[in-house]
Amino acid sequence: MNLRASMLGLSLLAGLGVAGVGQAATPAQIAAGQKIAETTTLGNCDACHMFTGATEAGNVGPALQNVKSMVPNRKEFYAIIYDEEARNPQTVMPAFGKNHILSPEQINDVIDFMYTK
Amino acid sequence: MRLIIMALMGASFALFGSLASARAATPINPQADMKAFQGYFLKRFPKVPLAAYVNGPYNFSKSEADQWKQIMEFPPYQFALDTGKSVFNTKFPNGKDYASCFPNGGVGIAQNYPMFDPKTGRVVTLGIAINRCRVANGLKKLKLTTGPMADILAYMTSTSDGKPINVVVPNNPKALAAYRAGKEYFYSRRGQLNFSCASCHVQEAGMHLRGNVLAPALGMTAAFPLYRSKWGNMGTLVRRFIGCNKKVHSVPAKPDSAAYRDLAYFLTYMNNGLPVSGPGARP
Amino acid sequence: MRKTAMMAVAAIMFAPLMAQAGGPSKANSAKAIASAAARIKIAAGMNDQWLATLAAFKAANAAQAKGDFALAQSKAMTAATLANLSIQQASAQKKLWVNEVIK
Repeated sequence: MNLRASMLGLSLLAGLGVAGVGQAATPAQIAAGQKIAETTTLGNCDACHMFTGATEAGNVGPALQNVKSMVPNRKEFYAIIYDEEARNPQTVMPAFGKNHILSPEQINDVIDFMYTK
Repeated sequence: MRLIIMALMGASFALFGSLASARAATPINPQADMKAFQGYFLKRFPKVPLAAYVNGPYNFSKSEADQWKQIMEFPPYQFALDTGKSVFNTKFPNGKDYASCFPNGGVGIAQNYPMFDPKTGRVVTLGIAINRCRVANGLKKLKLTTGPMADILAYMTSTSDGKPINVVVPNNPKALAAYRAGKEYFYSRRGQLNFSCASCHVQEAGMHLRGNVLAPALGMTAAFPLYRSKWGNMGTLVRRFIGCNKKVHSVPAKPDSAAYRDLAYFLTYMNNGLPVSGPGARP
Repeated sequence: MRKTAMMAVAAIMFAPLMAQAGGPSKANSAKAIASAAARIKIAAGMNDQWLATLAAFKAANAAQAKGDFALAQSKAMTAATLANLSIQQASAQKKLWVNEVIK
C-alpha cells in the first residue's frame, strides 16, 4: 500500500517535473542550477559530491563528471534527485523532491547545471 | 495532488495500525551488540587499533591529525579544565561540595556514566548527575550544553583519563528499554534530509562531508566534553546531538530529554573498554 | 516557457484542494492553521519534527495576525504537508531501523 502510494506520487510528480524535456537549457537555468547546487541551505550537492568548480567538496557520493554519460536519461536523473531512497533503500542521498527541499523547477535547474559537468 | 495526499495519509494510517506488531519484542542483548559494533569497525578499518577510535577523525586525515598535534601543544580546553577544577572544589553556600554527591569524591568515576538509576527508572548522564547535586544543595541547574557545565565535566572527565569506559546495562526492564530506545534512535532516519546517526557515523564513517571527516560512531563519546574550533568554545555530547539534529533539518530534542539520555546510554555502551580521553579537541 | 507550463499544471492540480479547503478567509485560514497544529503535535510525539515544518507554521501564524489570510492558509497547508511527511517517515522508520543495525 505504502509502496504503491509513493510510486503513484513519484510517477505523477516525475511527469510534472520533466515537462521541459527536449528544450535546450538556457544559461540562466544553468546559472540557477549552479547556485542551488552550491548553496548549503538548498541543494548543497558539493557537501557530498565532487564536481569541477566546487570548493571543499566531499566524497560521500560519487564524483559528478561526464554526468551525461553517468545518467543519460533525464527522467532517471530527476528520479534520483527526487527520491533516490525509493530506488535504493540504502542510499543516504536526501529525497530533495519528495521531502520538499527543492521544487520541481529547482531540480530541473540542477539537472541542467550538472549536464554541463 | 489531492489523490496523492489522500494516498499518503492512508498509508500512514495503515502504518500506525501495524505499530504495535512492529514493536514486538526482539531480544535485547547489549553485550552482543557491543561486540558486533566494535568488530564491524575493526574489520572495516584494520589499520586503526581499538583504543585509537577515541581520536575520531584524526585516524582518517593526515592533515587534520597534523593540525591537531600542533593545537595540542597548548590544548584549547586547558582554560575550561582549570576553571572546572576550581568550580568543582569550591564549597556550595550550604558548606557541602560536588565531591559529597559522588562516590570516591567524584574523582575517577566518569567512565561509569551514563548510569541507570533504578530509583527513577531513568538514565542519568554525568551532566544530569551534576545538576541533581546542585538541586539537592539548593542551587539552580546548569545548562547541559556548554559553559560552566562543560567546564566541570572537563575536569571530572580528566580524572578518569585512560580508564576503560564501563557503562552498565543492568538486567532491569526499564534499563533494557532505555538501552533499546537509544539504539532505535541511533539507527532511525529523521529530519527533512532523512539521515540517521548511523547514516553518517557508521555507513559513511571516514568519508569527507565537505572538508570534514565523518567520525566513526565507535569512540565518539570518549573525548567529550570537547573544544570544537567551529564552536570556538567547549561543548558537551548533548550539544553535539543538537547540532547533528539541526544538520539533518530536524528539531532537536530537549537537552535533558529521555531521547538524548537513552542515545548517550546506547552510544557510550558501544564504547565499553575504550579509554576515556576527554576533554578533547576537534576541528 | 517551462516555468509557465509547470505553473499551469500545478494550478490545475492544486485547484481542487484549494476549493475543498475554501477560499481565503479568516475562518478558513484559521481552520488550516488548526489542522496543521494537530499534525505538528503528532510529529512531535514521534520525535521527528522538521525545522521547515515549524518555520512554515510560524509564517502562517504571522500572516494570520497581519490579516493576509491567503498566505496564512497556504503556509499552514505547507506546514501540514511537511508534518505529514515527517509522520510518515517516523512511522516507516519504526519498521526500517532494524535493517541498519550492525549485526
